[in-house]
Amino acid sequence: MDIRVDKICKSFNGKKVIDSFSMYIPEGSITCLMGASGVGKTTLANIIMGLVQPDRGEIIGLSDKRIAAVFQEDRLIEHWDASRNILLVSKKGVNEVEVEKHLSEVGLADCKAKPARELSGGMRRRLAIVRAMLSDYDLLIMDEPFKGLDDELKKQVIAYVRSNLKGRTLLVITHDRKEAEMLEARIVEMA
Amino acid sequence: MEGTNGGKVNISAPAGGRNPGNYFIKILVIIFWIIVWECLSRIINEELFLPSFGSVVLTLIELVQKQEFWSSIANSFARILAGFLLGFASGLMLAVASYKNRAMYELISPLLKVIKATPVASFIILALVWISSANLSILISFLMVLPVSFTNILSGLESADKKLLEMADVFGIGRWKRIKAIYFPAVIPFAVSAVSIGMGFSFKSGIAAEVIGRPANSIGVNLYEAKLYLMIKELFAWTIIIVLLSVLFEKIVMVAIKRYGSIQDRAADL
Repeated sequence: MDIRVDKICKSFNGKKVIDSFSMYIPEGSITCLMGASGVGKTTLANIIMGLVQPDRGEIIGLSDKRIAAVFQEDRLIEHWDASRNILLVSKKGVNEVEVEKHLSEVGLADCKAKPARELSGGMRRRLAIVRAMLSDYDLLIMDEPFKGLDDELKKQVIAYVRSNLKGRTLLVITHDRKEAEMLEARIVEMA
Repeated sequence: MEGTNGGKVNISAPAGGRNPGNYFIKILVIIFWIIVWECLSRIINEELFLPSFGSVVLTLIELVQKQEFWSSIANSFARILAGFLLGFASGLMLAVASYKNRAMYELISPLLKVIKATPVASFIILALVWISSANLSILISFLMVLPVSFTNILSGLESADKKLLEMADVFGIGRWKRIKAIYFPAVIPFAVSAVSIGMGFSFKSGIAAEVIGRPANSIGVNLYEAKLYLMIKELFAWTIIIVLLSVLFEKIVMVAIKRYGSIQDRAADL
C-alpha cells in the first residue's frame, strides 16, 4: 500500500516547523525528500516513524508496516561490536556469516568484532546502514545516510542499498541532489 | 570509576588501584594509623579508655578460637544479608514499577523519603514492638537498603539513552533485548553504588538493632556485653570484626556483579 502524508502540521514551542505538508510515497519506490536546513525534514521522518505526534494532519498507509531507520545520529550500542549491533535488530534467520557478508559489501569486513565506539564516523554510518538493511522492514527511512562518506564509498554504499532493497520502500532525507540521482529516486521538495 | 566495556561491567579501583605500589601505600597508611593508635594508648595509659593495638589483637585471637564467635558471626551475617538482599530486590522492583508508571512513583516516593529521614533508633524501638528481636536486624537492614537501592536504580533507569530507546521503538526491539542492550549498562554503575552505600548502612544499622534487640548468639549481644562489663578490648575486637565483615561482604557482592556482567556479555544469544 502506498503511503500518503496528508496536510501535516507541527510546531515546537509556538514555532511552526511543518505547515500543512503533503506528499506521496508509492510502495516499493525510492523517494528522496529534499529541502533546506530547518524546513522540518527530520521532524517529518520522526512523525512517520511514530516518534513525534503531528499537531494536525495524518499519514495514511502506515498501519501494519514494519519500519527500519538510519537516524541522523548513528544510535549504535557503543560497547557492543558491529556484529552484535546488527543482530540486535536483524530479522529471523540472519546469522554471523550473513552479517559478515553484508559488512564486507560496505567495506567493513575487518570491523565485525570491533566495538561501535572504536569505529570512525564513516564506519559507524555504514554500520547503521547495514543494521537497518538486515532488519525486518517494509519501509526504510534514512536521514542523511551518506554523510561523511567520500564519493567512492558513497557509490559503493548506494549500490549496496539498491541491491538489497528487494522492492521495499525507501525514503531518504538528503541535501545532496547527486545522491538522489545515484539512487535513481523520485524527488520531493520540502519548502 | 564504573563503566561498561563490550558488555562487561568494569568496576575498577581508582586510577592505578591495582598497581602494586598502591597496595604498598595502603599498607603504609594502615601501619601509620596503628602507630598513632599505639602512641595514644601509651599516652593515655589506661586500658579501660583505649587499649593498646597489641592487646586488642590478642583478644581477637582468643575470640576466634571460641565456637560462639563463629556462630555469632554466622547468625548476624545471615540476618543482615537477608535484610540487605530483600531491601535491594524490593528497591529494584519498586524502581522498575515507578519508572514505568509515574503514579506508582508518586505513591512510593514519599514513603521512602520518610524511611530515609527517620532515625534508625526510632525504627529499632518501634520494630521491637512489632516483631521478635531475632528478626529485628533483618527488618532494619531491609529498611536502610530499600530507599538507597530504589533511588539509585531509578536514577540508572532514567539515565538510559533516550535516543537508543527511540531506536528500539522504531525497530520493535523486544523487552529482554532492550534490558540487555540499553537498560543494563545504564543501571549497573548506579546499582554498584547502591550496593556499596547500602552494604555499609545495613551492617551499621543491623548491628545497632542487635545491640538493642539482643537476639541470642549475635555480634550485637557480644558488643552489648562487652560494653556492659567494660570489656573494652572485646569491644574493639568486635568492632574490627564488623568493619572487616562489611568490607569483605561489599567486595564479594562487587565481584558477583562483575561476574554477572561478564555472563551477560557471553550470553549474546540474540
